[in-house]
Amino acid sequence: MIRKELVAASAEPLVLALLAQGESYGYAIIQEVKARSDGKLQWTDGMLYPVLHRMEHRGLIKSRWGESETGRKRKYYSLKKDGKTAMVKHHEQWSLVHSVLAGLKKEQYV
Amino acid sequence: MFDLEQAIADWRRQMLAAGIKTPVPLEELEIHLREEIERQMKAGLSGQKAFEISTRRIGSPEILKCEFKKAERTSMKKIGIFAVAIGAVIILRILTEHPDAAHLRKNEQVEWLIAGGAIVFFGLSNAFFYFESNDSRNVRRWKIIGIFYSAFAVWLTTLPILLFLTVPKFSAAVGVIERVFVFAALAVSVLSVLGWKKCREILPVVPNRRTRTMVGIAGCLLGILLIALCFFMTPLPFSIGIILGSWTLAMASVLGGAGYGLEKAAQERTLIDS
Repeated sequence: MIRKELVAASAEPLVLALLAQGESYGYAIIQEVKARSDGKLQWTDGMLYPVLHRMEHRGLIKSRWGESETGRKRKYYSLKKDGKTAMVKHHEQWSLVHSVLAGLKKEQYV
Repeated sequence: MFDLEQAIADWRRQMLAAGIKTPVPLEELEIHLREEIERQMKAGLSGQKAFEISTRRIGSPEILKCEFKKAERTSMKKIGIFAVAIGAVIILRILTEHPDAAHLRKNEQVEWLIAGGAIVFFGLSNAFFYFESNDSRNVRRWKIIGIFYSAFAVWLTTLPILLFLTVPKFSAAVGVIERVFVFAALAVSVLSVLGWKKCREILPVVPNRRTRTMVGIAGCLLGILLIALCFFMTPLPFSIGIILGSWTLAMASVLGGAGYGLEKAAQERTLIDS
């Protein structure tokens, strides 16, 4: 299981990256993250919503109420322009961390 | 017999009791809960078991409330900062208006100053009360406010000093004693921020952050009030006016740093206690 600090830090970039593929809603976002990480990246389900609201207040994403195919109400989120910029920045930063770690790991085995 | 709808209604009541009162988050959480229960039941679990697992996954109401508060802070902080900027513009506009070319009468100017002060107060209280409770951040914010007040006082005190140093007419009107008083006031303004930092050892530790913030804001506003009173006093002879004015500014600078001193004292105590 991944440490909770890392899970919290990765929430925003993951949400941005998922929404970059198209609009989505809270439940689907959580299921998608779970599936893509083989269940290793586990959010407390309810914690996603404050993150989404915070991102909406900051102007990174926007929301609209809609309906599912079964008629259930759903709140759909999609990316705004600032969100795309933030996603690129997150990607650069996480890539940097990853490349430093990978480089250090490589050196250990040389 | 387990009643799923009743259980969801009870869960909703628990969320409301914990303080998640705004309809949108609660509605979203309930929709999520229902989707998760449905998925669990499709996987073969009973309604009761599905409900128990799903509510556990959603998280405790207390933690969720804290997280939603953080989201609320972001927007309140923006409103607060905007209000402070508007209030500061009003106050500066009135204070920097030349008395001979003033568009407003004195009592109108006082009214505008009070209105500006009230807007600054509203803005600061919003911005500060909704800031995340992080000690070092609070200390830094109050330090910036203290430095701003000190710089403002130094700037305004320097102007008459330049007058009596460079213009012979004013130079003749200001004696040695007056000059010493004015330079002493200038020194107090410059050193006020440093003074508050040093005073942290003797300052009382106010454990409640809200009270500390209120005292800090009151200090800032009292400073503005002092400047306003001095500004609107009946014209005094240059030599007396310059001493009174410079010491009023020095006092405003000292009062503007009160929040910094109290935050610093509280932070020191937290570090000692931990």
